[in-house]
Amino acid sequence: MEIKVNHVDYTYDDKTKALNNLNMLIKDNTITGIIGAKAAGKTTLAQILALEKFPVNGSVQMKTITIAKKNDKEMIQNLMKQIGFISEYYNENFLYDTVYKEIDFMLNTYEYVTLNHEKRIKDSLKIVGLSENLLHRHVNTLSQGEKKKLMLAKMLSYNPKIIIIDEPSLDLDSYSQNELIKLLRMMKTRYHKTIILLSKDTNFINKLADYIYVIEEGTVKEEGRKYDVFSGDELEKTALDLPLITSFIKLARQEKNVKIEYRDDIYDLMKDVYQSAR
Amino acid sequence: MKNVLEIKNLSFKYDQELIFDHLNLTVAKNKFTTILGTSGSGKTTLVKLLMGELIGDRIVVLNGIAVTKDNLKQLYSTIGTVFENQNDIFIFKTVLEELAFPLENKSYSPKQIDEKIEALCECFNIKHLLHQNPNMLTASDKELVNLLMALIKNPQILIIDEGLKSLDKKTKEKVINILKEKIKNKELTVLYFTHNTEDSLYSDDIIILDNKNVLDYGSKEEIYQNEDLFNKAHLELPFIVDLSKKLQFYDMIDHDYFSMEKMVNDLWK
Repeated sequence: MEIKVNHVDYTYDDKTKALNNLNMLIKDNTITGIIGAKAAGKTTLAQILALEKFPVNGSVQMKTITIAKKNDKEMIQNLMKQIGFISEYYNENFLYDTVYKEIDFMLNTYEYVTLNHEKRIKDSLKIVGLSENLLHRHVNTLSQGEKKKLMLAKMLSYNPKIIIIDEPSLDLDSYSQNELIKLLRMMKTRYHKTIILLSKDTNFINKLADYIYVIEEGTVKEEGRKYDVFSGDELEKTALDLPLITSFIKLARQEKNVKIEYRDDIYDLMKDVYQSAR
Repeated sequence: MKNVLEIKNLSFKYDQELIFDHLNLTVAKNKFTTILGTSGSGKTTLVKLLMGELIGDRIVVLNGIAVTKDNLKQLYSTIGTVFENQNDIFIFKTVLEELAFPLENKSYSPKQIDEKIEALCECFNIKHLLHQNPNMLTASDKELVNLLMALIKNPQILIIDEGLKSLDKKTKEKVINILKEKIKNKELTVLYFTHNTEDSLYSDDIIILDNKNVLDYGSKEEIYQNEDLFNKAHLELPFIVDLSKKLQFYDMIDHDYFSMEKMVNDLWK
């Protein structure tokens, strides 16, 4: 589902302007990375895309539906069934009950139609790499990483068309991060979902984003394919760090005038260094 | 006292399930030690054993004090803790009150408290946060305040359980530099429990935890030698160490690097 953000402003009650004339086009069936340092406006934008907050000015368009300052309640509720959202503060969104009940709650709330609730719940655990043995465990007994995976399972259980995750790599060790990357790629290619990831972890975003938006002070500072965004100079003006591999290549190019290409993969980099420095 | 922590042959059961089986662990004093392990490897359970929140079948000795119910008050007065996002960790309406509270309990005078907070403001650039509601801060700022609440007490030992994960890089580096300065002055020992292997570059020593077992421990230089260890524990090497290994394979360099700048300098003289 294509999403258009049109001239969106958002101001908090205390007059802080979190979003300022924000414009974005998120193409259908893509993985979009929205990167920004702290207080760039990422979390507010995530909440607006997830329909938890509404624009003070401007609008968001999802297919034929326009979301503005005031909206029809029923329309929003129907649209929410198509959106899956994980907040940076996801710990607040548990019922603090058993794993089974946590997912069951989502199926009921979002009115997911199935003849077999239990199977759907087990499948949701399986897809995020959590064991079926955890079904009747209480959320409090899970490790933080397991809780994050449970939140992913809750979000995917009702099969939303749009997936929005604020700080996807948070609380996940590198092994689990790689599993999440595989999962999100599968959600895109096999299940045709549209995925939006908001993050300051540029290493993670570099691994799977089709298109990137850089936001700072509530507005878009830069956009493009990851190669263009990460190799350009705009990013360094923000408080964001480049992916480590890009930092290394940039350092070699700038300090030593070495002509090595921007690479994603450490093996490709190794070959380039070998060619260049021997 | 050479070691700040000693655990000998400790076993721990939770609900009939054996979690730690004859665990042995020592951590040196006045060093920055990273305990690396994936999610579920036992890090947080281990922290709870250090804090006396859970009790195993052997006595844990932390900072020369036996971790038993009678000693907890004395123990906690020497330790600062920084744990990961708990809901409602802040009880006051302003950051200023949160920072002052640990000191009020220790009978510092109001003037001394002001001076300490002023020093923190200078160092960490948090003046603009002092009168804000701590629960309304961004995740990075919340984490910084949480850390400063532990540091303001001048603890001898700082135990961090993933408590740096939301800090932006500049703040994290500033924090780590200050901790290392205190360690150098023999004022502090840091135990940092995390799954973030990149962060292990900051440390002196590393302990690898896998599935509730200590796989190995030693200086970071020693531990990085063993790639198989990292694979076994489902951990990735830090980027610069990984690249070092690959370039060593092709004889382009002859040792592990911990700094990008140094490696670039040496590769392209």
